[in-house]
Amino acid sequence: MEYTKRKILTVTELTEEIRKILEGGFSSVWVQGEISNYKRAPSGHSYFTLKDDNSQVKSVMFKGQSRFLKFKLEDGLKVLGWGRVSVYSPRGEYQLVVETLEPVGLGSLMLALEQLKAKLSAEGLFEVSRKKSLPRKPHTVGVVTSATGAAVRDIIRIIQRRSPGVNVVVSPTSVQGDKAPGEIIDALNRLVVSNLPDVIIIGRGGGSIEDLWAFNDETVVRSVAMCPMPIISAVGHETDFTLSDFAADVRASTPSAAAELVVPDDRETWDTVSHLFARLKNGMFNCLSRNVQTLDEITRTFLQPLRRIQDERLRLQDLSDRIKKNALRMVALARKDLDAMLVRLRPDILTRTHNIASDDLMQLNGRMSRSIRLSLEDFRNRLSGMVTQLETLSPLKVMLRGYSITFKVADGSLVNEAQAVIQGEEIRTLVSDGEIISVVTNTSKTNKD
Amino acid sequence: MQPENMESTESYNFDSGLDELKSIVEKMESGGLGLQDSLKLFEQGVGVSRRLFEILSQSEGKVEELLADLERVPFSRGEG
Repeated sequence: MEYTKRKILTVTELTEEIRKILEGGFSSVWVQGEISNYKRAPSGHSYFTLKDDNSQVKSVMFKGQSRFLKFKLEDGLKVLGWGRVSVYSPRGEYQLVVETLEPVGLGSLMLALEQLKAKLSAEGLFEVSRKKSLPRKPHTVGVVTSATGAAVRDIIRIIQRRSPGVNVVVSPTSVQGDKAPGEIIDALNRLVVSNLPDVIIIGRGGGSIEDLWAFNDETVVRSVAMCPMPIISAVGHETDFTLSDFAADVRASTPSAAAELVVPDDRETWDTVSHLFARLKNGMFNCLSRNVQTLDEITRTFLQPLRRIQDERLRLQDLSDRIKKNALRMVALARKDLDAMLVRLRPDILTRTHNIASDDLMQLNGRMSRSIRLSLEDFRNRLSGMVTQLETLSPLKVMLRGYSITFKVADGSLVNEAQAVIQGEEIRTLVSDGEIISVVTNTSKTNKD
Repeated sequence: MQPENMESTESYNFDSGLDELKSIVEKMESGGLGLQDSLKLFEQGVGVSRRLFEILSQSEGKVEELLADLERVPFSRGEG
């Protein structure tokens, strides 16, 4: 081969050739893959790699296109992208310039919803602890919904049927379309500012998932979550939940269900209050009868002594009457006896009685004198016997048998042991017929074993 | 704004009134109260009951529409 025939390219020329081929051949491609190494540059451009199990391709989505994405890019997301291949000459690299992206599997709307739900949930907006309880019987119910739909009619009809006294304030808004989120927030704010309702229903009748979309709007969901009054979401759909449902304090499946929840049936409430009132009366009645019973007992206890005093007084009266009657009768009887006795009283009977008494007296006198004399003699005999007995016990009698008693002359104390006296002391010894005064010349103690 | 606030207070009273009545009745039924205390409670309970019955007897709830300037007008749309 001749050198001259060879076509020698510079690196730039080669790169330019490749660029022409690549950019010309892949100016519009659909690529499906998984996002990885996602980075959002400060410039607003998004850089990532699209990959599958065996290959990968660098990708960029410029700021202008990123703006229209309805969901957030994140690693691991499976996407279908449309764009073109571009070669970056300075680095000899090629990349996919992505114009549009949509998630594979979920629709982009649903993905956005999932993402927003995860974000708000992480913020704690759906926490059960944030939920306010509904008033049992509100005074005024606020309603945020379309003023022309069936929803508002159903709500008003049911509230008036169940609790006719409850006021309803409708804050009208459109509930679908691009302007709906802003209007819904305004309508809700008006109710909050008016401070009229104690509870709010926010919702609309049923529709497709797209029709309900305003209730998934982030600002609407946040307004619902931040509503200072208890709020019931009633976005008419049995199966699909909107994010407003999660943010509300209570979720009702339809506007009608919300109306049933928001006010009690007055007939039931009336029964409840009547029942309580009956219990109140009963309680008072029981208390009264308890007290009356106590009063009865007290009265009885107090009255008993009084009654007894009365009884005693009656008995006393009776007794005194009977005594009086008896006394009079006895006096009368006594007088009668006396009269009878007076009639029977005769002097001769008296005299005779006296004579008999005189004789008896003489006789008795003699008997008494004899008796006394005998007694005296007996007494004297017994006395002399006692004296003899006494004499045998006297120390004098003992002295006759040779015993004596010795006293000190000085103080007259009895000398009953040798040590009681000292030499030269005077002692007095009593014997049977007199005494002997002597002086102690010596003392000695008898040795006893 | 004053009348509105008073209205709100009234509605609050139904729930709190019902609670109050319940607690009065329970206290009454627990017994052990003197005649004077019972009478006081009873009077209180009758007053609360009367207020609750009054609220329940109201049958003319207003249905209004809140306009953008917070003005209220009778609500007529949606009928028919």
